[in-house]
Amino acid sequence: MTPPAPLKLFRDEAQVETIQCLSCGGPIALHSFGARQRVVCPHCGSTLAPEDSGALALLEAASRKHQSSVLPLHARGKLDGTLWEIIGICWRRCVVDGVAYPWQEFLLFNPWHGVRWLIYSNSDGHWQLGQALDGAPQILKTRHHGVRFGKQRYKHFQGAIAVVTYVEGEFTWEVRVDDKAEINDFVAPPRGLSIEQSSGPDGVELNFTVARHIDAAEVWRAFQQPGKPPRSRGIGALRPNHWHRGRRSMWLSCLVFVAAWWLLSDRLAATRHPTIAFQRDNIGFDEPFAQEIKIGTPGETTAIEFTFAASPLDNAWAYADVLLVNLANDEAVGFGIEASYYHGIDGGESWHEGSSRTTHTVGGVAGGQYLLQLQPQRGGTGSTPTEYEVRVVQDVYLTRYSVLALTTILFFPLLAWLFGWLFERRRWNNSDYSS
Amino acid sequence: MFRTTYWICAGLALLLLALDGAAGNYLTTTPDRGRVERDPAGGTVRGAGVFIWYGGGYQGGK
Repeated sequence: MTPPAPLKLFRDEAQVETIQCLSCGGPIALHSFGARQRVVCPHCGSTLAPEDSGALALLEAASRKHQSSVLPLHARGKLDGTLWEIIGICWRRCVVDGVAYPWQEFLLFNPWHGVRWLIYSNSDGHWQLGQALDGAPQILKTRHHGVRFGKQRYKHFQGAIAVVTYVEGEFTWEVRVDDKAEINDFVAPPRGLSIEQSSGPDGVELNFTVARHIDAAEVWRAFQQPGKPPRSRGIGALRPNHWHRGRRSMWLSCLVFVAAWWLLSDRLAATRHPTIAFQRDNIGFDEPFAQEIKIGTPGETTAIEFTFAASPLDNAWAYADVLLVNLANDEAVGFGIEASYYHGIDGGESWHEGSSRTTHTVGGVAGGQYLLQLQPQRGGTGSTPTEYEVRVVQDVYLTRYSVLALTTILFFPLLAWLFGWLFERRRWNNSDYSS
Repeated sequence: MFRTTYWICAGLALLLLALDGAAGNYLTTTPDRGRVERDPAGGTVRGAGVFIWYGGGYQGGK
């Protein structure tokens, strides 16, 4: 069986045609077949337009100097797997609050895929790749002005009058310097939608363009430009918010972590039964104190809460060197604990600090028989304490473990949310809705 | 990277809660630990020997 003949392409391979400018005689390369509406000489800026016969006629002679754009005319580059050539360059700008915001539009052409726009913003160095919208967006009656196209909603970002300031190359529309158009940009980063309205002799023309953010490095690589691209500054209108990337999985994992935290905290609380292992009051300061006590269950480790209270305590301090000596192996835990209370009047205002009662939490205490030994000290300018009280509570529930775990679990998603929000705030500060 | 760091930190915090929440080895004050010796000159206090601790001590309050 004979295999079917390969499909013939609708169009043949692109042929580059070269003509001479009818004004300055400079060479002009043409690529866009019959789609062209205007050709602007890159050398002198004269405008040529096709006649009914297809031949180009001089529409307007000019003698302006050639200006360099961030990418050169006729540069070729592969974007989205398609090889594009820059056939036209158009500079535009808008003025907002007396500040000019210029940008450069590069008309990309591929004989099989038509045209695209590569847009470079001079003011912030961000790039967009756009194409004509396949239809018209639906205006949404929402609190924030927006449009919808397909399933994608876009929020209004900014509106301005754009003026063409410089053109060179071929164009598929009738472009000329000083052309004005009212542009409204809508965003759903990394995508955006522009509605461009211009008035002409035939009435009002509406153009819809959909664009996406493209990294400067990707453009530079694609068009094989030397060096590095101009540095991007700030947050572009369409730059993706990297804090929003993977936020769904982050919040889902947060939910899982919170559930695990709940179970573990509940289990921990159920196993903790704080009980007083030892309590004694009215102990004098005159000599060291020693008492054999039992802490926890042998073979298990527990956390204890050691409370030391002295009285009366008035502009004075009390301190005790505490030793818990495990009688089974003479291994000891030692720490100092202080209670102090001071008060007075300073500059007509009364103040006080400290407390007559101090609590110390000690973890990792092995269960067993202990000798509790205290060596008390006291002092101060007021009435020094005469007696003190000691209390040891075992199996205490250390809420700090639950608090630390929950804080860690919530901290990262909240941090990502906060940074994402700040990112968006910086983006929208450049919009018509700046706060 | 951020998500991976999050998963690691949250996992470690839960592990700490599960394994050390009862004993409190890590999130409590760090007392001195070690062997003590009976003070030969310390005699007894209420029938118990007096142990001495090398180091520590208090410098006094205000």
